[in-house]
Amino acid sequence: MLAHTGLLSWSAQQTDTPVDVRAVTDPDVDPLVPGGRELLSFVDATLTSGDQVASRALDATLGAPAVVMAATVIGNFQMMNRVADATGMPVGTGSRRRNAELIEALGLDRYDHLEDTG
Amino acid sequence: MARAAWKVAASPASIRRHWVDALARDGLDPGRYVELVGIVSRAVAIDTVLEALGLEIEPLPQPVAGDPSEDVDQRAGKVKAWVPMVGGASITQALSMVPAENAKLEALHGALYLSFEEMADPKPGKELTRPQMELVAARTSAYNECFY
Repeated sequence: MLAHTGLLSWSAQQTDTPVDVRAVTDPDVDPLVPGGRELLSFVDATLTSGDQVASRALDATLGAPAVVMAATVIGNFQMMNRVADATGMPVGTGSRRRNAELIEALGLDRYDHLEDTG
Repeated sequence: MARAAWKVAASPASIRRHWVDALARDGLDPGRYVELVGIVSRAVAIDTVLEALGLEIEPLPQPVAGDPSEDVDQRAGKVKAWVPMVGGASITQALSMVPAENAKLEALHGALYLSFEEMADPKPGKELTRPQMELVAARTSAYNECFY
């Protein structure tokens, strides 16, 4: 989560896209990214209820190709999260230092279960 | 092995180093474990895409006769992670102990999201903008409680 929250912040800056990264962990925050609320609802629905209401809302907002891409991105991170956690992929001290504000603002430390990496 | 596959599929955030070490002591050596992680994580990815699009889950393929290749990269060594890797601990090298698994990981990563090379591009020209993709990636990781 740290890597891609950092990439969210970086890519928004690079593309002059408004973003509020707190939306990653806080459902009450508007992500500001175009179609962001619909994208987050689609992730939530895919990984919980599986209902297609969010898919239709995303289709109406960003179009069918965006729905397919969002689905494949979710699938990719279902894979990569498992690979990272199952192999004990460490987050380097440099990355922690660079993202210290982000870690604190989003409370990401609570997800750090790799304490016995080494 | 079935319990290990279940844990990687359903509860990856609960995996700890001592559990991986215990698997090795019970006979699931690091090479086999790396292969298991690769297969299970790709299956979860494909099932998720199909579910997200409201499609039927594909049945698993029939087993094929023959011996496993047991092809392991002998350069893989101890790194700051729980399994041996080639060239240091890196997410792009996570399964590098078993070259076929790392190649499949990279191929699927490129098909579903971005190639490893495209990761540095803020405007990769996909159906979602890069910030939109990263918002989806980060939220998915939050669901999985994956700190990395």
